[in-house]
Amino acid sequence: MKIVSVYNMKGGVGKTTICVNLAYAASKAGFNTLLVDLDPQGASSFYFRTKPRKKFDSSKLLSGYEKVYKSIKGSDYDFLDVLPASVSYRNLDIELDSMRKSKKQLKNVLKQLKDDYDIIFIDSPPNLTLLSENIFESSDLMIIPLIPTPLSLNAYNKLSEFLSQKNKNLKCGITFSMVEKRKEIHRSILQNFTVSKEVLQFSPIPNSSQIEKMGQYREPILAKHPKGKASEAFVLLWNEVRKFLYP
Amino acid sequence: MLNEVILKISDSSELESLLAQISNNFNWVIAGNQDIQEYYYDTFDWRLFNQNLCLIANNNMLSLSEYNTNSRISSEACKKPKRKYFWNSFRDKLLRDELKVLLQHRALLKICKCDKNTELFRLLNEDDKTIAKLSFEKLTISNDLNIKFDSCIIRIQGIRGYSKEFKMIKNIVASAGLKRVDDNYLFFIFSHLGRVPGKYSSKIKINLDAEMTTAESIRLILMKLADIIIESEDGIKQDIDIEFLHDYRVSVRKGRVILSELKNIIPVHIRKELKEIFAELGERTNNLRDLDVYLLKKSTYESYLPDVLKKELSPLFDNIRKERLQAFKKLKSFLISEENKNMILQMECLLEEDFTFTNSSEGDKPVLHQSKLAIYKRCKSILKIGRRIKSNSKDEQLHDLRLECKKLRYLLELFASLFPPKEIDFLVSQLKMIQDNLGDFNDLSVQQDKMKMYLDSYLGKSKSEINLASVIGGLITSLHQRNQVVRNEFLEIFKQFDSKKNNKIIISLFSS
Repeated sequence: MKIVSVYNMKGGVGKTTICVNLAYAASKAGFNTLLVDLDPQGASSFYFRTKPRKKFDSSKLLSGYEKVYKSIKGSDYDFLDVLPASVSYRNLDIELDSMRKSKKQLKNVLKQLKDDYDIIFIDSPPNLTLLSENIFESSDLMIIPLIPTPLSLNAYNKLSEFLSQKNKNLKCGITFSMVEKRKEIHRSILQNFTVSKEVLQFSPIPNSSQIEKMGQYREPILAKHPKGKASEAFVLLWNEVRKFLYP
Repeated sequence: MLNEVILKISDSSELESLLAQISNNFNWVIAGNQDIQEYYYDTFDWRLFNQNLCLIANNNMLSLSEYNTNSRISSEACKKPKRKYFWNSFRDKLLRDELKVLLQHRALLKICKCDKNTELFRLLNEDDKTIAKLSFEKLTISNDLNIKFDSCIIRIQGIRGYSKEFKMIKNIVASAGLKRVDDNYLFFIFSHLGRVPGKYSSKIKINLDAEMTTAESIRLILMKLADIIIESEDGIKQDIDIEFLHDYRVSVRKGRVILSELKNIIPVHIRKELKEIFAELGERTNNLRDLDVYLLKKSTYESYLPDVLKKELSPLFDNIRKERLQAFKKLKSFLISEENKNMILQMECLLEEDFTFTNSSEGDKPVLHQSKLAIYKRCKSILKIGRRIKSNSKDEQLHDLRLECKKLRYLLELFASLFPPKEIDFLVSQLKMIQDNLGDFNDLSVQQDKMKMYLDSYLGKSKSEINLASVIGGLITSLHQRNQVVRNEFLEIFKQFDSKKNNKIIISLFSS
């Protein structure tokens, strides 16, 4: 089982869109897929029209296999399940802090799902906390979406620095998202941006009105507009991710 | 199935009526229409079906699932479904591992094709979230024997996390009075195709009544054995997998054993003719089976050799493969010949004859009594021969003992239903240990002779022949050493078989 997280400490960079569409693409390719929505805003859960069980909360998430397994919900698509986010996840850091091996708790829970799923995608909340460090520990690959703007690059540089000190073994890949080629700044950053050789650089995701409308129709864009340009980009991204995970 | 309901319906009017009832509680939307072709696979002896598994391929994907829980075990991409698969035909590790244990040397055969036209519906809750999927499937199921039938089903699949809603739907289905076939869906599909799913097994199970006459019991047993021989023929002719020939030969040998071990039971001419037929069928198939076994040994032989010599073994196995092809062609032409057809017909006619018409009254005696006599006699003989074998005894004595053990094993299996299963299973397991040891000993002896034969046939003119000869020389040495190890283990294994406990079981079960 592989675990792929989509993370950036900055918000509004397209994490959820990428996570939802990659999870859908993986399930379409026949992988038993689980999307774990860890963002208390619950945008991924919203896109898949799933709500958490009434009894499910942050303590249940960390309590182990049985309660987590029981709380997983089927999406509308074959081979794709969702562990919906609970608002109580806002307390996850406090709960993690009180636990032993506080950075490995999430990994311990997720690895117990290895017989149930081929691949897990984690949609992460936008911050850099103990939960984020749990996500780093759990991931076989962490995809970092970046909007091609100086502010976004600045946040990425800070993250890189943090990771190079604390999580040297974490494999990361960046993908530019919300790319508008007509904008000069986007073009310039795309042309000139380089990453260190340990970091993968995946294909970019264009900005698209179809993506913006995902909140209205509450479906992955790959399901709603499989032939659109944005879908093409997600397919390309999935193929690159797949190639890395299953060489 | 846990999260699936399958309903057999006659036409679309029943679908409309069901949807009308569902719409009292849930909204539904049409989610599409699709035509797909599915191919169902299983081994000839239903190894997947018997384990509640099914392997289904379509033009994209091939998946192994547990059909009573509808949970997929593993899958892999598949461009064009093949006629047959072996466990090592698959790339996916989980699929290979799972199937390796189950299939061993058996092939998965295309049991049937299912042309499916599906109308899909989604049943929704108040958030418009799908809480179950409903599909109306028009099926046309066919196989290579031109058997074809049409059927309609409704399949309702629950979605994980929405069990309350699925329970409500199940209640609606129950009140609609439609016939559920989800518990036996595969049986429902397969049973229309001319073979009873799960029925064929090379391990024949005959429920004999202790008071049944011995003659009638023997007829029953021989008829079952004949069925396997006849049913296996096609698979041998098509060279589907080596287990067809194996089942065929085991049945032939069991037939020979039962005829030789229970004398004066059935009319002399029937016994004589059947013995001749079985002997002939056995003889015709010896060579091909031997070569099959050699080919199976390739990795074992490689393990006997140092890495540097392993690749030199290939020409030897190329030769064995060529020999096997010749042997297969020869056997196939025999199997399709009039000679074989007449022999099989004759076997069937003999089995229809009156088995009770004999000069002796042995055949009229209850089968329990006669089987006890035969089994006890063979047990005593094994213990007698085995006890005589010392570390310096001749190889022939071990070979004799091996044949005796084989006879006893067949008798125990064929008459198992007359005795307490626990004791019989235990005795068979004890016997199996000796058989494994003696079987290895025999195989290693025969293999040494065969290798020696190959060695003699090489002139040593070319470098490759010299290399091959050196490999075979190394192999013969390893086989010999292994043979000595196996032989040295025999005395200890036999001592275990000759234990007080086993002797007590033998006396209590079989001495009259």
